[in-house]
Amino acid sequence: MSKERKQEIIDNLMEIYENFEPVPDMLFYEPEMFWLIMEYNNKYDNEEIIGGRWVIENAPSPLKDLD
Amino acid sequence: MTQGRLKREPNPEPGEVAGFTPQHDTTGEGDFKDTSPKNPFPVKDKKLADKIDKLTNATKENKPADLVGELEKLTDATKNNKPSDVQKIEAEELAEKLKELIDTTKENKPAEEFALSNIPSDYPDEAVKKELESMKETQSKMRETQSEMIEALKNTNEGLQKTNDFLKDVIEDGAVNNRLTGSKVEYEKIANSETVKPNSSKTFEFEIKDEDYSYIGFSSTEKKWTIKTSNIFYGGEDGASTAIYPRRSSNQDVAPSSNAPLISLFMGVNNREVNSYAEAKESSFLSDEEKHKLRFNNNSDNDTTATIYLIRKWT
Repeated sequence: MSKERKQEIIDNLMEIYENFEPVPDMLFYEPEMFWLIMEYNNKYDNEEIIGGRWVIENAPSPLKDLD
Repeated sequence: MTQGRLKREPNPEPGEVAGFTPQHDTTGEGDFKDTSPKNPFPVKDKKLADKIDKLTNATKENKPADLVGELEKLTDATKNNKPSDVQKIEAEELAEKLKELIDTTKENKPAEEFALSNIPSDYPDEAVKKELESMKETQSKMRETQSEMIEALKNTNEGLQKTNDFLKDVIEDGAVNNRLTGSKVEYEKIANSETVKPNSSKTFEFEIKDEDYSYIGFSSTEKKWTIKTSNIFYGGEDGASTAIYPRRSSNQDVAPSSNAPLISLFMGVNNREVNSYAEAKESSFLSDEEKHKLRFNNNSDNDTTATIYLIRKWT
């Protein structure tokens, strides 16, 4: 994965994070890793098949700190 | 001089019988000696001495050793005062202050309430004044010590209360209640929000430690997912085994959130005859530090996000 692509993914994740809205049906009242990847999969193709482990290893805070 | 006889005037008026000189028995054995400033008449303020003794005993019960020492010194100093000094001390006033001190000490009132703070600046007996001031200072220390003791006793009491409450649960009608009411639970993520593409699978590893039971929690954003695991006889990844109860080997029609995962008990064996959690627990064959594999299959038409928990329980 190129640096540019990696940064693009991180920017997309950050945009999702910053626009968090609670999802009561799934008990998400604050951003969580499961919610972040779910939203990313809903919004993007996720060709690299990133998940929580990728975020922890590659993304900065606050993304990598999500529970 | 004959012992036991009083001395007479050495220079009586001619023709008159010699009178007795001012004298007193200094030893209690009849050695009458003249009373003079050099040999004063022994006087003891018994009322005051009794009060000081009472104060000393009352204070000893509170155990501040330094205060007891000060009070004993005060007692000795007062008892040994010469008559002329004792008269100057205004014994009644001092006795009143000491009585207040005794009462206050018994009630553990703060030192500030002691009347000792009102000692006059021109107190005639410097030695007693110093003793009283020293006693006042020592009582301040005693107050601090008492506060610490009270706090320590309070903490001890709370601890005893908790212990007592615990024992109430353990002991019933005088007999030890042997019901096991405590347990310990820990969990970790085998898969942390991993993406699984449509009609594909991902395999994750987990390790049994020394827990009594291992539960697995499943969450998926899409329905139509299945789970297969290894067992103690088979460690392959091709999904030939289902060592969990309830089984998840057929498509699951739910999409549980990571905050409300679906739970199964990992038994370690593929026992198809298990029909309840009780039977599953009976069929739970776990070995310490044994590694296992779990395969998550996404049979839906969309990407799914999966989080899988391993929940360890010690009973």
